[in-house]
Amino acid sequence: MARGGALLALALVLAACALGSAGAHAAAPVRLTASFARGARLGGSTALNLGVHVNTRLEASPVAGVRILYPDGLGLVSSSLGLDACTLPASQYAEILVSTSGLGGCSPNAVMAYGTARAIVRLVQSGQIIPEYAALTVLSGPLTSGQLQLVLYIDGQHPFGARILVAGQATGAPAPFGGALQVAFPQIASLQDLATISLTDLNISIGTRRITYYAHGRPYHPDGVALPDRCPRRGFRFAVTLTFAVTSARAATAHATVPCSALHA
Amino acid sequence: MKTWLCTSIRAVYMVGGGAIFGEQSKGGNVVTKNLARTGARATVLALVALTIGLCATASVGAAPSARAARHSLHVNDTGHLHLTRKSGATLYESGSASGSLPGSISAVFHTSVTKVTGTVTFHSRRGSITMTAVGYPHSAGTVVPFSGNIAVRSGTGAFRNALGSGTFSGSVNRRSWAISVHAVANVTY
Repeated sequence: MARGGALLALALVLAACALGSAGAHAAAPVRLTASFARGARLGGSTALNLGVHVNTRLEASPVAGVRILYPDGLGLVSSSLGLDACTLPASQYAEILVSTSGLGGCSPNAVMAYGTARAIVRLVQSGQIIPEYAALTVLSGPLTSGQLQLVLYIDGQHPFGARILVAGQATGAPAPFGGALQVAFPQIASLQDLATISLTDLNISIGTRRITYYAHGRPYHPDGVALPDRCPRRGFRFAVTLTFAVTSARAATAHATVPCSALHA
Repeated sequence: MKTWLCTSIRAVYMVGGGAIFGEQSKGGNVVTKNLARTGARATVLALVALTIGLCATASVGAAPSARAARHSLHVNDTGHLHLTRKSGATLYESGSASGSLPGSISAVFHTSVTKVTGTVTFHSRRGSITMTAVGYPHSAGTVVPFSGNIAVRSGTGAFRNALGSGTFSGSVNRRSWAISVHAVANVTY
């Protein structure tokens, strides 16, 4: 009887190991990375680095929306980022911009993050796939219906160099998260018959030291994201949810945690 | 005094009251006959009703003496706060208030994109009043106007057991986190 029980327990353990192993190695359509700047201390302010990688082999449909959730207690609103609001005409969004330069007339005090993006451009006629690299600037927009609007400047570097404005929002989020940053990537009307653009990589650094604000004409670096005095019990947990242009494609989710050990007390 | 009077009157009616309602007691019969004879039975009934009313009033009146009588206070204050400490999304502020409840203020605010919640305590020479606050920003920018509601939950000293509600409006400088706020509330304690 005891021998039978031991065998059953062994079988269960083996089955559990097999399942765990499968989960660990299963390829995911989306991967999220999160980290704070080197030397980040609890109770201080820091840059928050977030990375989203989309595996286009597993999900060929273009990304339609990205929603990144950040942990409760993380001081994004209590930071001193986004002191000015960037308000742009709606007609400029989701269009290839040719006349704007710099921040398109927006104040440098509206910058919240810098980053990079990589997208796959599929030419409709030839089927050719061309990767496009872009610099990214996230700006604070106006407050509308309780949501802080965000403006994403996607500044194509090469080979196309297209400049696109995308609208986003900072919103509330269900527990255990404190809030969310979301952005929708609409298909660009002027490119509809020529190419499809599908995001593959998105990296942003919120509150990076690269950001420079001006007060009374004098430049300064604003404080980054405020960290709490105490680390959450399971570390700082982040999540991302992607939606895709093809409505039959299921939303993909990924998680990332910044462990407490990565921070100085 | 009222309680003593009421007890005394009750005692009188316990002695002779049964006769008023026609009970068979010797003395009572005499009283009944006398009253009926003088046509004053209705007067006695009115007196009984009046006495019962008096006793009832006395009972109600006794309650506030057992519990402290509640006072009311209309708070109409302007406060100026500054940041003392920041911990993630939580701001710790302190400052001073002037108006109907002058004194110092200490506050803890939890910030989020959609709203700010917090606990604010007014400290005056007579005691303190603690309230919870929910505020909503009206715009983005360096100086952000806001407004919201407050609920008075507790107090100390003269304001022990304080309760009430009110509203507030003001502005916060997001660079320094200095706050100017005007609060109006009705408080009982």
